[in-house]
Amino acid sequence: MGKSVTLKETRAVYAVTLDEALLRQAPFTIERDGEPVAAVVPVDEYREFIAWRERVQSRPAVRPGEAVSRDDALAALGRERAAFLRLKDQLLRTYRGKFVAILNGEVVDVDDDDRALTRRVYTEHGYVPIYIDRVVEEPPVRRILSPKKAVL
Amino acid sequence: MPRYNTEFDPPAPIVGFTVYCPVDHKRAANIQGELDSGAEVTVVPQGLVDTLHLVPRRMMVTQGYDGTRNQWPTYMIDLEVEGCAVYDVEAVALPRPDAVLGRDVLNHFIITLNGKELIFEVVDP
Repeated sequence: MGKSVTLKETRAVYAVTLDEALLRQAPFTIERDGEPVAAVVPVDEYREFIAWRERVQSRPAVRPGEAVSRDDALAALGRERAAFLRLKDQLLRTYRGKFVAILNGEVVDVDDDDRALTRRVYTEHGYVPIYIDRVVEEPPVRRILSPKKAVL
Repeated sequence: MPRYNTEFDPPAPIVGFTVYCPVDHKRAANIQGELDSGAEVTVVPQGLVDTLHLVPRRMMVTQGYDGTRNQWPTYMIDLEVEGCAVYDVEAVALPRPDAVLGRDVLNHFIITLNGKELIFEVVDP
């Protein structure tokens, strides 16, 4: 919930005349120097908005059990990876050398064992794109094919 | 004993195996892959990701024989090779029709390549 002010305070600061009947028809916009800086809406509408926003923010990018396309899954993984890279300096200070799992932009689990961590987060959070990687300065480079098979 | 696949030139040891989604073994597919001790990690066709609805886990930096570096998504899978299960394999998905079993999987087995007779054997010790 956002900060509350009394009507008296509001009137004193912004000189707003609150007509509740009019407010039900459309929100008031509060302006400063001709620019809109805030809006006044009926409190029921505001509560609905807060509830909606919490639902959206808590929802995983891909819901458990939901079959998604490869592209959608990769896009979701990309968002989690971006969070991993954004947090990397901080992670290097706290979890250097460990594996971390990132979901919805936050670290949800940490382990020394990559596979145990992966199994656990899929059990706890669902089989959804969760970025799981080791916290190291530079990722290792892996050779994936013998030379004759390298033409893809 | 399985025989080398002579459609490859030179003939190659190709083994049939089953790939499972790690959280639901009802999601499975039978594919073929070359035994490649020069590969550090196992490779599966991208199409398999769609078939099994696999979820990516991270991006892996890879280097080709010519030094070219790429990043590819990896997927955790379970495998069954010659009746033996290998769990929690990290595989790279590439746009290619067949798979490659790298050392991460091959090192679970005793593998005998008899190129002279064009036969091979994969045994779980």
